[in-house]
Amino acid sequence: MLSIQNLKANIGEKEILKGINLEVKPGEVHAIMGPNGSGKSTLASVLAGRADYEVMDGTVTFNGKDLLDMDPEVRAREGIFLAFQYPVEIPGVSTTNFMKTAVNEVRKHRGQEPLDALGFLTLMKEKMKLVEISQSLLSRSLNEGFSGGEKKRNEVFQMAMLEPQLSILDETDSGLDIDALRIVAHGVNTLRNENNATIVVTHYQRLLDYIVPDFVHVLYNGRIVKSGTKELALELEEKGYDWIKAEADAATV
Amino acid sequence: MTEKLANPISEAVIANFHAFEQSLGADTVAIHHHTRKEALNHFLRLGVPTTKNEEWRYTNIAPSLKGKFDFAKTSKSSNLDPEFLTSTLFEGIEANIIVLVNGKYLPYSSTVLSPIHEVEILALDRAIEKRSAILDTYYTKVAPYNNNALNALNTAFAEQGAFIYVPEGKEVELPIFIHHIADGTSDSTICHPRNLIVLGKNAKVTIVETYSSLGENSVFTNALSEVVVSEGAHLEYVKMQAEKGNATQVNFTQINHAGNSTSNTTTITVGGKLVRNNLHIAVDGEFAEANLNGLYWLNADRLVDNHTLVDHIQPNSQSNELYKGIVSDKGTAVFNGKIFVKAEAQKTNAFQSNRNILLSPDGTVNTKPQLEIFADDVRCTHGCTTGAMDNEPMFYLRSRGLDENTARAMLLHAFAQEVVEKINHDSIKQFIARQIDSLLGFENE
Ligand SMILES: Nc1ncnc2c1ncn2[C@@H]1O[C@H](COP(=O)(O)OP(=O)(O)OP(=O)(O)O)[C@@H](O)[C@H]1O
Ligand SMILES: [Mg+2]
Repeated sequence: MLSIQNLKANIGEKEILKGINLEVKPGEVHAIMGPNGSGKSTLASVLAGRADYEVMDGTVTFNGKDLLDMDPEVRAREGIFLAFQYPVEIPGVSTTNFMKTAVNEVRKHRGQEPLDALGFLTLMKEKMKLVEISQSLLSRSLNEGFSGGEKKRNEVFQMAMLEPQLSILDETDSGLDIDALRIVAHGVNTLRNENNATIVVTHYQRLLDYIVPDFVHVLYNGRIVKSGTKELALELEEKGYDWIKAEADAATV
Repeated sequence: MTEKLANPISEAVIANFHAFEQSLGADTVAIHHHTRKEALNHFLRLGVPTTKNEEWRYTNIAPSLKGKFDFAKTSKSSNLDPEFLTSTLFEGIEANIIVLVNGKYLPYSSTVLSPIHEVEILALDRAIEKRSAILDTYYTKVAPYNNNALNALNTAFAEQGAFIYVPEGKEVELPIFIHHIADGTSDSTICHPRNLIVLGKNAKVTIVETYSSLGENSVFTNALSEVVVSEGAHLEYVKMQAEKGNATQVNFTQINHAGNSTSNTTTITVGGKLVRNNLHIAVDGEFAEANLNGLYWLNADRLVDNHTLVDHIQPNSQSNELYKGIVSDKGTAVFNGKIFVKAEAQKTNAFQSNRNILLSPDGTVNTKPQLEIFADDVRCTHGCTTGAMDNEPMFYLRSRGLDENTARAMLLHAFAQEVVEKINHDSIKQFIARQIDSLLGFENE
């Protein structure tokens, strides 16, 4: 589904991604871990099409198509969804405001009929229940005055609405209390099927107890320096990153 | 060089003044001849402001005034189809309506629905006959003409406009629309509409002025409104300026507040080649509150200049000012916000904010707050921002599948809506929101 080969990306003069390789197949869950500043959000942003990053080298294909060639909205319509680590505040625009357009753009792209007001409302109700989010939150200016947990829950709500093929959750667990974490994980797990895939970026094993990954990758200094199964996450939880850093630094010298 | 430009205009004005006065009815001349004459002299003394005048630094009106207009010919009868007026301007809002075409009152298009005990709505020349006591008290007293050339010019040539008088304690249920239409279909025109709006104690009214233009010839509107908001009264005041590229407008509005009164003025400018708005508010009473909201949208090579002045004279009063602008193409926006706090005006709260989005590198924004505070126990804040559209919200919306244009329109709508939301009248608010959204390409589903 997603194939990343030797991806290098800069911000300004600074090289941040230094050759990423990653294959994601339908039905899989990949966890990406790694120390602060290692490039996890950068990778997520490059996949979603943020213009601030300049891709210097490498290829990314999504269902056989050149992803890097697409505008962000086309990527979204093709089925990529990024739950932001720091969702932006947009005064005057509520989730309900833009979700109807978003849902119908995606449907149009898939050759489906647009939803009318009633159809949209029904869909909203269903997904609101799934992530236990209130109508009032969805009617407020996006993320303005939202608590950390509310912002994250809203991201997952949008994901549920758009039913993407590849979801990238960038630290969606940070800032969530135990109950919210369970709700969010339940939402993600409910949406999982053999045709879609999930990339979870996280620092904590805790989330992976709920969303069980097939693969765990460690990103360090712009590269995936170690990959393994869910046991790797447990090992990291126990030992931290030092041993991996040491391994990786030794290998690059 | 530029100063010389004033002379041909002055000559035209003098040449036409006598003919103009003759064209007025004999009675009207008798009553106001002295004032007009005096105003004319002030105009000649002051001259048309040039860009050397600090207050007019970015806004050059002389070229629009030069040589094109017959100052005597204000009584041009315009054959506007009343159906056109009803369908384009009113859009189903039940309201009192006054239509002024080239400053001339159009009785057959005007309707007054509110009962006379609620409000008295007259063409200004009728009010001069019927309501001379009120005229004597306020006319030219609220907005003096001895220090402002265009006010002087308006006073010299003012013929008609709206007279609105809300007696003490009355709440006018239906809004009052004053539609100004500058008709340049057959010829260039200059007009000087003039309103006198008086709210008695504890009176309450909603007034909407719209400005539009027709035809291809140049039109110049030099409008003046004198507004009195007595003790405890509330004024909801909306100006919607949507003239075409053939139009130049200078607008002066003076609002005088007594104690405990409030006003909420919203000035929306989406059209006109050059528009200069002067909104002056004297907060001359304790616990009075003045709200000034503005929104301007600029495209092509249009210019909109908002000069506001809030003068806090008595203690414990408040003003809130929010002006926002969207500038594209080669548009030029000018904002100058003066806040004066007099020595006696302790405990004043004054807030001012001017925010601009520049959509094009060729657009210009000149913004300048000007605070002069002589009291020590006050709270005044001001802030100006001008910048391109924020990338982050754009990227966010696009990452959800909205194309660039849709995302931009949605964000601009949200930006503009903050001002539109300030209007305290639902159907008027919606009417204006629709017009703005269509300019911004925003489709509200
Ligand atoms: N706009 C920018 N300008 C300069 N440097 C940037 C910019 N954005 C990101 N970086 C740098 O790129 C590096 C990678 O950042 P990124 O956000 O991808 O890290 P991360 O792995 O997501 O970290 P965290 O775990 O803290 O979220 C960091 O060193 C960061 O400072
Ligand atoms: Mg990050």
